[in-house]
Amino acid sequence: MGIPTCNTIAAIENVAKTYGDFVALDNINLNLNLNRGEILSILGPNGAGKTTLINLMLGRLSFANGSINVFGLKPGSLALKRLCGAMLQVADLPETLTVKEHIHLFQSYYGAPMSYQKVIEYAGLSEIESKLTKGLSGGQKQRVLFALAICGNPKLLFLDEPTVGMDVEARHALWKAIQDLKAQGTSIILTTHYLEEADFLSDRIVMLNQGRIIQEGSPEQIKAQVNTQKIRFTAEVDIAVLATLNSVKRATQDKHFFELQSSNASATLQHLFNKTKTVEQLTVTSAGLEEAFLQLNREQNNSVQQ
Amino acid sequence: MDNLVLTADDINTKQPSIINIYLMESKSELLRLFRTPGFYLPTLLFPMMFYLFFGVIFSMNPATMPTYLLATYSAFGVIGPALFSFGVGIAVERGQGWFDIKEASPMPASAYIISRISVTIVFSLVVIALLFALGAIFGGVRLYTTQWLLLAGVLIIGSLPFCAIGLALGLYCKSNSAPAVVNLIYLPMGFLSGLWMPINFFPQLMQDAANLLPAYHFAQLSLKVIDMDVGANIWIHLAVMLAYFAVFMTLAAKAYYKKDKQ
Amino acid sequence: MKAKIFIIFILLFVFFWWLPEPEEQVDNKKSDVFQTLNASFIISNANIYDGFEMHKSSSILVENNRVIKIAPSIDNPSDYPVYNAAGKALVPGLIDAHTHVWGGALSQALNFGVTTELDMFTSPESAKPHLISRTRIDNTQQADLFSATILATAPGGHGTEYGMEIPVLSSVDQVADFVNNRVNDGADYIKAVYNAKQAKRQHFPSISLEILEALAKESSRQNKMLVVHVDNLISAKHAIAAGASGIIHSFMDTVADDELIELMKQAEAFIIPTFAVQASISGHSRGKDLAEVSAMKAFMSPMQTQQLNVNFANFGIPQSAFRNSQRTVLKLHKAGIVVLAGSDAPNPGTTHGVSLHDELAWLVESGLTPEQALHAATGAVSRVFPVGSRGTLQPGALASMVLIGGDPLSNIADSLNIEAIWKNGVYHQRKVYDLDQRFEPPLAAGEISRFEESDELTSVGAGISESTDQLAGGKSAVTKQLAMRDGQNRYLKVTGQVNKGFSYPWSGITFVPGKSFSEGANLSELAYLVFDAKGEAHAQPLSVLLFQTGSFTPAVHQLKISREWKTYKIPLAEFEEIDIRQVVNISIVATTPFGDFEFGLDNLKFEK
Repeated sequence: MGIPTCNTIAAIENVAKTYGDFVALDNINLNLNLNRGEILSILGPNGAGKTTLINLMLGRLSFANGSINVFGLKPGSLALKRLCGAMLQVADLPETLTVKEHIHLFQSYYGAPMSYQKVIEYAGLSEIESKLTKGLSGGQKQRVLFALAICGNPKLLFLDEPTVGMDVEARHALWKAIQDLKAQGTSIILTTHYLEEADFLSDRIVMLNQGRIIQEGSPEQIKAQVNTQKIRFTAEVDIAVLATLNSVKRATQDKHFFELQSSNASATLQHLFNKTKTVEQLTVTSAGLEEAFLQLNREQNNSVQQ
Repeated sequence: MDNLVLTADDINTKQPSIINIYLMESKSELLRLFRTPGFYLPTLLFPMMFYLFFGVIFSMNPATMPTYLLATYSAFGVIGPALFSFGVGIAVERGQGWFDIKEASPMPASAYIISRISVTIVFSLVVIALLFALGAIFGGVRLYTTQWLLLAGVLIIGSLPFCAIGLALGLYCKSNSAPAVVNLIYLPMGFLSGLWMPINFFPQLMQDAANLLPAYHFAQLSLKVIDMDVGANIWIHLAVMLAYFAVFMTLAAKAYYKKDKQ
Repeated sequence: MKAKIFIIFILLFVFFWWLPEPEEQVDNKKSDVFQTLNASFIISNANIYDGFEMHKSSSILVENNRVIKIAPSIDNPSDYPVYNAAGKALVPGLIDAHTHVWGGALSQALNFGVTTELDMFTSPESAKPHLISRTRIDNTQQADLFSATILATAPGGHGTEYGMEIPVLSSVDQVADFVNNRVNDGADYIKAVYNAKQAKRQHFPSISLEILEALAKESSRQNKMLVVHVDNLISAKHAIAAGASGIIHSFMDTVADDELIELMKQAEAFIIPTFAVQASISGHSRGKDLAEVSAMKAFMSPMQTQQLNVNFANFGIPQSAFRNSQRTVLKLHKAGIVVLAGSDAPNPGTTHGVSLHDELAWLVESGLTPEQALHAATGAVSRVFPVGSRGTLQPGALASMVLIGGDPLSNIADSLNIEAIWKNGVYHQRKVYDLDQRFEPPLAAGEISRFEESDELTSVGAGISESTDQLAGGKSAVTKQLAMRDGQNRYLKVTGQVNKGFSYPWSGITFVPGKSFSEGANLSELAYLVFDAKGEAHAQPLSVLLFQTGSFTPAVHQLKISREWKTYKIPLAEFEEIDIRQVVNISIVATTPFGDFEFGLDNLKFEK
């Protein structure tokens, strides 16, 4: 067959994508090494190039230079499409088919589709399977799209902002489904701007901003790159004093609680205890992905401005 | 965990049946048609109404007019679904983003075209059957069975260039402008091609100009079956229609395989 | 899914199978076959009635326009075209034994398979050309005519009421001359109108019994048979006793008695009942019904339809009287008296051709079998009247015959189901009238030209021009100009030469009544073409020709003009062969004799 066997599911070399003057992707080099049952998140603010990257891998966009292959196949080829499922951001579904009819239709595109019952279970559609897609809520429509993406038993699943427009409950249900699929051995590439989602689901994260990869690694690795810790307490002290403590980057007050961002927690704490003895309810935590994200973006933006 | 390494098996195992895809896709299109009375009612009723009006009730010559106009209004009635189902249908799906989902899915492009063509044919058959029945019952139209069949055949095959035109329009037009654009082409072209009234009622200049329109050649082919055409060579009509088909199919293919849409 | 598709295909099949096809275009398609059956051909497997007997499933050989033989099967060494007429009937061309012929009568008759008409009173002038043409084998476009020419009647008697000036008989001395003149006119038999003094009903003056007897004697001397119009029993008895060969019209006053039967038997006399006209007189309106029969409508001229729709002025004769007539005929028939079919067309409610079929139906309704009725219109006539082998398919007879779909010998109504007609062995394409045709609005009465200012311009129509047979390759010549009629008024002087060159030479002027030379004018609401004329010669013959759109065969009216100016009134009803609603031109021309001619025309107009 001449299909190269490789661990790299997608190899993206020197790919740039511009829309007129707007640079959507700027010389991206990315080798996605993904195992069965792993989830990769592409994280970034709106306009960072997440959807562009997915569409490039799906073969729906052209690119000026460089090369992309997925499973060693050309993006957009039928052979590749049959290995993938994709859930894209869609304004509306054709309203004249029932959920069931939609799924049956998409199943026919694949040689070995997932059983209908399983699709319905994964996507949580059992109560609306015979409804026309006309009257569905936004969250229900997202679930239908999810069902269509997974119904072919794909080796690789693309999810472009899958939980947009969903309430918390629906979002958690979808996460559950994604995790189940992952447990089945499906590999997933996910774009999101919900940090919590990426943190919760991902094995690996690629962070994009303004068309560039700014970080890449496991959630822990990314978080570790940001060596900030959060110190939280109550005390009878002036916030102006707190800002002057050693290693403190930022001090904020939230009702009774103070919060300090510190690059060296032990130095800051020593200094704090020197200043006051009234510290109570003290907690020290490592930074979350959100902090890391905000920080990294800040750094990126600064460097761009310079 | 295993590496996500593809084996030849992964790719070869169980190709989907292309025939099954065509059937499923056609079935979905057909269901869609059935569930859209806002589309099929006017598309069915307009040619029938026009035919009854001009061909039967206010017929200038009861001996020949109902037969003549049966051929031309059938052509008119068949062009409608071809242009609209492709033109407007595709433009709207593109506007919804649904077309993207289809494009990202492993649906072969041919299934998209073939399903629509088969549904257009089914729909055309309904239009044809209704108009034929009207003509036979109210217009007193009498043709030999071979002529009825041949006329239906010509009408169905002849709708293909209009499918191609519709397809190209659907792929180039914005969803909200597509209905207007299609109507702007459909109605004037129908009139100028002599589908509403016999072409020889027009000034010579208009008759000459009609030669450029595919619907004119379509009508002439249909009229040839019942021996009421203007008498031009059949190959000219076929050639013009084939040319239209080829040009618009090429344009449509270009648009379909063009990436970076919108 | 597969089942559904299958069902849809079945439905489509049924639908397309249901869609209506054109009705078999009998006339076009079949005539293509029949067109080849001319002069020499074979019709096989037909039920052939030869005028006397039936030959079931037999073949007939026609060679050089004549019947050669009828046999169960016929060899075809000369490879003549053969038509398989299985299940159809072939009968002799029918004879209508009582008609009045002028205008288009003979072609109307032929259109319904009546190939011979016996006329019982018409003008010798209009009969003469037909009496000559019947001897020609190529007389295939109309029925053959036999005529009594002018009937014998008393001054003011029946026959004088039609406005035609005819010689009348008031004394026995006039009889010899009268009969002699008829013989010179070419009459084939003598017809008299007689009403006995003893009859209750005295409608018209009648010739006396003596004159009737003299007529019988004189006719017999000249070898002509005498037929007598009667309308009561006593007159019938007188007629037979006087020596008449037959009586015309059955009578309605009473039923025939044994005395009459005995008289007729001894004289071997015949009767022509003319039920068709009697039914019309006594208030049966079968004519109107016939006019509506769709199988016939298309083959009738508008004039014929009109004739069928006309009622007789009320004679006050009850339908019960008509029953007397029917009983008389049945009684005579049972006694062995010969009954002949005659319609008396075109009297009100009857018309040529069609009404003979109606007469056959009446004969059957009165008690004859269909075969006897057919015999009365074929073989029986040939035995009584001097018509040669007309009305039969005997060997040697000219093959005038009718192919009928169905079996008229068991159902006489089938006689109208005509599939093909041959006249003298030539296939006759039946004339079809377009019933839906639209016409110009009818022209109103009025002046055409007084010939004061112009010899060309007219008040209606597109003017007058010279016209000769040069159009058709002939050599006649003509000039027209205005000339002084008297001190003040002018007229149109037409001078020219009729020369040999074309078979039907003519020379004269032509008037286009429509808006242009191609548009026909509708003359249907006009009664007469009127003009003043004078000839250079005494009794100069002049022909008035009317042409219909799309036809090159005119309807002709001939007249003789005197040397003095006189007004001539030509009834447009004379021009029945053409559709009066689409006349493209009216020509007034000289046709005979050859040589120079001159005539004058003035005050040309249409009158109501």
